[in-house]
Amino acid sequence: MRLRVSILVLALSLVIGSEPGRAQTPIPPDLRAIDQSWAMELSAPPLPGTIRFTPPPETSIANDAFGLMVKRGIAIFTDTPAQAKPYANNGLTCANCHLDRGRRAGSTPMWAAWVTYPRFRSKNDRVNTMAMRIQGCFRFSMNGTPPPDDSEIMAALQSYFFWLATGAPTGAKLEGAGFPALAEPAEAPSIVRGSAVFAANCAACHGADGQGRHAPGLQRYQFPPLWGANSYNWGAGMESVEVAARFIHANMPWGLKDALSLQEAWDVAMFLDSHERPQDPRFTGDLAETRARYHNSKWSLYGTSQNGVLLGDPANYPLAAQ
Amino acid sequence: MTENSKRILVYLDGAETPLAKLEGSAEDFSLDTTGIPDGTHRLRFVTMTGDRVTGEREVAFTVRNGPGIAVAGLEDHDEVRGRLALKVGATDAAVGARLDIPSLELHRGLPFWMGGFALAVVILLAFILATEPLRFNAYQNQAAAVRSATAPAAPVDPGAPPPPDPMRIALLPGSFLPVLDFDSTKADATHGAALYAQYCAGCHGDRGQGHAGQSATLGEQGIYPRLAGQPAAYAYRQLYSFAKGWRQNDVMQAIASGLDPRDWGDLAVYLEGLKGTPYPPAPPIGADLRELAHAILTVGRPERGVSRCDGCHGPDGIGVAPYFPALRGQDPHYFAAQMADFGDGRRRNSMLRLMEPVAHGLTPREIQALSLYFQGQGSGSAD
Repeated sequence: MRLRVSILVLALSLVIGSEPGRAQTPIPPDLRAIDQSWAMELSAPPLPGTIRFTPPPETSIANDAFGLMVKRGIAIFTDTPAQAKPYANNGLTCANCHLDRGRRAGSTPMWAAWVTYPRFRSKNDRVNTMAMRIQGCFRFSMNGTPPPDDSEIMAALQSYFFWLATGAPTGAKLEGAGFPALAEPAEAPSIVRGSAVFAANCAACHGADGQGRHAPGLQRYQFPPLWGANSYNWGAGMESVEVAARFIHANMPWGLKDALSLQEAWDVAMFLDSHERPQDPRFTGDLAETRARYHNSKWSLYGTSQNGVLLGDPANYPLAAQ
Repeated sequence: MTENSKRILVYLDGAETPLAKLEGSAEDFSLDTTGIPDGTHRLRFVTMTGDRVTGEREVAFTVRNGPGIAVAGLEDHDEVRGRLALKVGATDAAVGARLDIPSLELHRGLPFWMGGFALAVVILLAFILATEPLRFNAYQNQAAAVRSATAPAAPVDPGAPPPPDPMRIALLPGSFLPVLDFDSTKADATHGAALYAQYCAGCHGDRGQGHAGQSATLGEQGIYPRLAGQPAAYAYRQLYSFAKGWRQNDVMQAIASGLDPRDWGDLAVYLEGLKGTPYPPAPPIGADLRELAHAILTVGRPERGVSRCDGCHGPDGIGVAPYFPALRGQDPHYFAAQMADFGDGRRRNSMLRLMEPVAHGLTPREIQALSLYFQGQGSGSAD
């Protein structure tokens, strides 16, 4: 599995925020029961070369300064636009792609990501710290600006990830990291077929126009927008058809694994990433040059024309306006 | 104490000092719960021989002291007529204070059921057997239309229970029903209001409030869900599903089949407009059930394939148009019945088949907790 894609913040989930704004007094969840249930009975042995890991139960978050920071991290993770307001600039939350608050195996869980940093990434050609990685998510997947290193947002998110990885061996390859690998499809992914898959399986929640939906009277998205001004920009990992297909196959619709066939997952990912979205912040001023430098892959449609739209054309989403 | 003396130590909750020390290997032990606060607790029994721990066992239990009164056969805001047969019980243990859905259903239904139950079962079985081939064909046609040509051509038996592994279910026809033929802007809410008064109000109430009890029109005891304020496309889908047999209810199937799709749309738009219909008062619900319900609402039971409710139904089940119905203020009997129907395949129109794993994965107690919790979320809400 290619870990370099393992913790991109993405935009396909049906999830939006886990902490609904309630008019009434909030009721604490039955965390003990939840946490007991997290200790899954797993009969199959771990995949070769990986270590099986279970993050700690949320009841074990200490009632101290560190514990408060962990809880703050959870709040940011699940309601990013409101909780990280100056820095997140679209309709997505971290938990939209890192399902179950970053706990779900196969959905880029944060406990698995934490132990793999610092590491070299070809995306920016240098050794990246976890802080830089999170900042990248804000820059690309949240289409915003990176929070400063010493900001409370960064401290809270890293506290949460560190806590999730309590007991995990540093540098270990943990089972369920990233998105599961997905074989290439029998037929080349088709936007036309993908549009039919989308209409039948995705539009119910994300809308026929892919622009997500709100619960009545709420600012926050119930279902995240998948393209356009309020979704991830062209710099996000999810713009890769391959990454999107792997995420979709393992997690969509809504928490269902392998509900779509392999071909359907590839087709609908192709359809998804054939739509225009905000400009890559690394745009050099020249579309062909930007594609060659950052999107030189058969799984990126950036810089190509699809359905009469030149994807990444600066006239569509000028960088200055972002 | 001799070296080999056997004894049993009893601890309450996380206490470090035992509640009781019982000498020997068996002894009667009296637990006075009046000194224990109401709520869930656990007793831990540790057997020791000398200083050696030889066994350990934990028992979880719930304390509920104080009197409770259970009434079966009549609920707040029921519409009633004639003589009513009620069952009332008041016990110090107050176990009946909690809604016990199966026993309430049995009690309230007795006078009617005793007469026609056996006959109804026979008729229902005959109906199912007689129409199964028709429905199977309908499913196959739908399958051909919906599945992409590249999908595996595995035959799908619509009558079969969902596969055992809830995380790997296949999307089946009917799971997502495009409502391309429904355009709410072309629907006539005034006509919908007239249809509603004629066909629906007798059971579902004059303002779509619904109730569990006696129908003014049919005179039968039943569960009539709240319809007021439901998203129009959702309501349209339900009428469509009744007509198709994807939801099973003799009366609703007859009514839906007797109307045409334009009528469904008119009714659906009228129902969505009934947002001002008051909600019932919140039912009594213990703190433990509230917490349990809230945990499932916001976190789910991922290891059992149960996604959290608010992922689709919105915070506190307020509903998300166009397809995800409001759960707040809904009748708890109806909620429980739908879970049962999703679970055993009687209701087969769940969006993307999302509800089947949920219905399979929830325990009866969790369903009870959710049903009470959601009903209580209606009262006091803004609309």
